[in-house]
Amino acid sequence: MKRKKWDNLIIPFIVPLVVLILWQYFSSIGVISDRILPSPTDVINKGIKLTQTGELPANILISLRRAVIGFILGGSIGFILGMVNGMFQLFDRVFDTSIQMLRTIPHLSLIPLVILWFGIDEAAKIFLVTIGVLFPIYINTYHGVKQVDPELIEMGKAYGLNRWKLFTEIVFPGALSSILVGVRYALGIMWTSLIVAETISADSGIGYMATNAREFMQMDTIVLCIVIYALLGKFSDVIARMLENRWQKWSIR
Amino acid sequence: MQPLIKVTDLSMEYGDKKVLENVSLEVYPAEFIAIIGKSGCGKSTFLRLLSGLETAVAGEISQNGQTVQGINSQARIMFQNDRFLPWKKNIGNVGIGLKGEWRKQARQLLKQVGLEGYEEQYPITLSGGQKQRVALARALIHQPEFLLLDEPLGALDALTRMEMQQLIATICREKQVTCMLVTHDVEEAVMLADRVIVLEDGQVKSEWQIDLPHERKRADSKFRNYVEQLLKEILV
Repeated sequence: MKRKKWDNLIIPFIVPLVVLILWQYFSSIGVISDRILPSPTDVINKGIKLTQTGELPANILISLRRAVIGFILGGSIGFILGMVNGMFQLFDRVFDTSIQMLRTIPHLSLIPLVILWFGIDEAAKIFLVTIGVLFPIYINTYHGVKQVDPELIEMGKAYGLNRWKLFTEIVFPGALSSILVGVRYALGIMWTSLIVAETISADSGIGYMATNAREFMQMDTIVLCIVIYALLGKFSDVIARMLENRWQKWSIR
Repeated sequence: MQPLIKVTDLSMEYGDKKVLENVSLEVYPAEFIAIIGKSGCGKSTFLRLLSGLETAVAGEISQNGQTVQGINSQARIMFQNDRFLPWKKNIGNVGIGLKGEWRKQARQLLKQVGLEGYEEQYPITLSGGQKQRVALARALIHQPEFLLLDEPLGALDALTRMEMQQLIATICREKQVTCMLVTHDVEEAVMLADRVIVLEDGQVKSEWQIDLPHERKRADSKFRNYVEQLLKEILV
């Protein structure tokens, strides 16, 4: 049992580790020129330096803040719309078609419009993240609610649950696994939207750091930003998975 | 004695199809009624009407002299499938819809149905028979005046079924619950019921008083006799 746990911890990291070692090796013998790709140690050094100046933590915080605000906004709107449309026929008929139409618009195509509306203000970035996150959460919440077993709801009614209890005890937990799939998917879109928004129109944040570094040919900073995005993405995925494990204990025999 | 349940001229239809026609019935306190009939005779619909999950097109149901409207809060129904919330532990499923200090009672009921020690497990780990035991506990914790059993043992294997019949008979008689069981199994009806109602095409065809003492034995000649007569009644 203990052995297995250890293995699970190690095995996923073998490939990245090998890639890193090869990358370092080929950089140091000059096969990969540092104008194409800086070596891992260069990137790490740059990371340390930028951390010491405070530039890196500040930009990470700014990006993180945008991501979180956008996610909470878009997530809440998507969740509420999904729940309401899933539970009430009338709302479903009135809103679902319109939402499905809006959904087919790639939200990044709104960037020119967003720049005109908000300039390079904070609102522009948060707006894009919000729109990006809204739809996956909406769709998965909506389907989650729709797929709740009607027999369970009937049981709840027969056992005297009121409307609110039916929601908290049956509909919401029944839809939860689907909602969590939406959350994981939305987290991916959250970062993508933010990167694009920060690359195109920003004066702070990780995406801005990378674009700015390009102007000065600072390869190491660019790669550092990419690595940080990867880490942030992984970090949010880990959190989503932890939530899943915590709330889905019942499905494990 | 006043009847607990009084059903008067109850009719039900889905679209053009008449499912029940002018069914009248009185059920007395602590009586165990079984309703049998071919599939499609309207027996499950009858039970759903009594629980208030559906509303009749005509007729009246009253309990203790009061007309039942909407969900019948004094009745609890046990379904053919368990209908547990898989994300709740067994004890939580037993206590669904309850507030306050229900845990102690839930524990006690689980013990009564022979599932002590299963409180903190999830229903997914239970066998078919165990699930219906928990479902029985869930129905009984509300201390219903009237327990509706909609073929709750239909999906179980023969042995488990017999065990469960024994358990239901014992517990319901001990608690003096009035019961109505819908089943297609004539033996089960004779095993459990004080009175058997034969339903045909949505109408009451006949009523049978089962005058056998509990515990009933399947091999007993009187028991076999009832079973045979009832089978004839249904099939002819």
